[in-house]
Amino acid sequence: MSGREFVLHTLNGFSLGALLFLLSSGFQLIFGLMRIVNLAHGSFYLVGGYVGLTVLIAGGNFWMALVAAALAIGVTGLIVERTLLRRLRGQPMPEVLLTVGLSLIAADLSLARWGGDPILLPRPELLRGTVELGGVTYPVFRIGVFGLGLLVVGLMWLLHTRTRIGAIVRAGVDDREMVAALGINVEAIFTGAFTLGALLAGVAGVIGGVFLSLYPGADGEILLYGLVVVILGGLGSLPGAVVGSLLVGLIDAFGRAMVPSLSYFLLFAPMALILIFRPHGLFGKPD
Amino acid sequence: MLRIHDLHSSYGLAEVLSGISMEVPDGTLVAVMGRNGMGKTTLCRSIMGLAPPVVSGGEIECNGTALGGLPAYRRAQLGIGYVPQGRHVFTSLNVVENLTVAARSEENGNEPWDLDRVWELFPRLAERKTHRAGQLSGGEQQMLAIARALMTNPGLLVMDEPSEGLAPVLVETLAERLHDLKSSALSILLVEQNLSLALRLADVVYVVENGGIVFHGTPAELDGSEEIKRRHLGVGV
Ligand SMILES: Nc1ncnc2c1ncn2[C@@H]1O[C@H](COP(=O)(O)OP(=O)(O)O)[C@@H](O)[C@H]1O
Ligand SMILES: [Mg+2]
Repeated sequence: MSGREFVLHTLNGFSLGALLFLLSSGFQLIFGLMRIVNLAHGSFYLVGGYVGLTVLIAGGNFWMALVAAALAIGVTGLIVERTLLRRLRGQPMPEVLLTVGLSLIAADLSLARWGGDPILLPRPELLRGTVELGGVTYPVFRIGVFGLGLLVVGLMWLLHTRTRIGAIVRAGVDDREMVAALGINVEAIFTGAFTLGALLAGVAGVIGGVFLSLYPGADGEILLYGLVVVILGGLGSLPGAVVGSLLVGLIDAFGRAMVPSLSYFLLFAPMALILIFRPHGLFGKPD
Repeated sequence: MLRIHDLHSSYGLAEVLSGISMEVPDGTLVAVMGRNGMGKTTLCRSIMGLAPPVVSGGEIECNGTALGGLPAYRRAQLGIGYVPQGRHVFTSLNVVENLTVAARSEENGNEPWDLDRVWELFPRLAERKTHRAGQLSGGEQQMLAIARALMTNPGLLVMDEPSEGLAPVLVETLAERLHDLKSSALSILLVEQNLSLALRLADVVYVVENGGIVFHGTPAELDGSEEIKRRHLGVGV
């Protein structure tokens, strides 16, 4: 591999990692805090992308599409948590089945509305064009995605470590029953976390629409990546989500380029190893 | 402060508490004793509204408010501080965070708790401020669990076997701290298996056996009853 190719795959890995972080930071927060495997998280992503598409078709620009997807999917998450998941609290099997059901409904409605062809969203005006980086000509948009990923990591880190809400969330990942026994309304915290996770997935959908395109099945694919991120990084750990996302992004970028026929194997082999030797992930704690 | 009348609690079909009545008058320390598996933790969890168990009958009243049906966080807000068996500190948070997460101001006439007052009561915790709770020793975690409950400024402290697993010298420290707390107008429900600790601190002692109260009296009365001590507490066998 030439030095130039190495730089290219690294940049690809980092930008995909940033997208995966937007998706999986919420997914793993919900998993770690509420112990819900939200199998509709991929649908939040895909439908978020379609919401963005709708705004673009109606004449809005990329940034309006991003905000609309964030709001629409955030509110959807809020409603799903408040009206549906809340009734099933503490029953893991019904919870998972509910999210599967929602994802099927979302997939069918999307197919009916947008058809089966991949749709690539246009890049925003501001982030068109390319830059020279380490001898590689690279799209500005992907650098921008990485920048957004960094920004969200930074904000989440501040929220996580510097605010009382963040401390409550971390305490809730440790022992949510005890948080309630201290007089804190854990339900409200759950709703907030779920809403934030959905919102970020909606944002990720619009960005993913630009660099991976939107198509039926994209929801399941991205969810699979999200699962690998969570298993690598560990539950409810922000550093875990960061490192897990970057690892998966880099493995995917280098795997596709170097051994395309084995790229899925390269992704799942480390996951299997982690499951065997460190089931709580690189950064998670044993239960 | 706390009144429990004819409380029934069960796990599935197994009824573990079958008609418990007791009272923690304002400003007193009431000890609950009994061997392993007799329902002491079930009693604490029923008071806090934590499930399981399911409370299937009876009343619990705190300061005149019926607790039946209230979620755990509302009960805590009514002034019940909980120190669970096994401590359950937030292991990935540091000592200060464990305390500030819990902090809540309550106007209940008692002197309010803040970090400085906690450091005064537990100087050892002050030295460990920035350590993660998971790295603390068992004794330090127990102090932290108590301090965390105090930070909610409770009127009643429910403590489930705080001396469990502590070295004798730490049990002595714990006894002194509990004595300090007792003289601060706080009401305390103390579940204990350590007879001498309970006898030393309690105003009233209850003994539970198979989910019912088999003894209720002063520490002196309990100490004088070899029969109760032998049959229900396994002392001297
Ligand atoms: N989560 C549970 N599910 C089913 N049974 C339980 C559970 N917790 C406790 N028990 C049973 O309830 C009884 C009382 O337990 P517990 O209240 O923990 O006793 P103690 O605290 O006095 O040792 C025991 O027989 C125990 O096996
Ligand atoms: Mg117990």
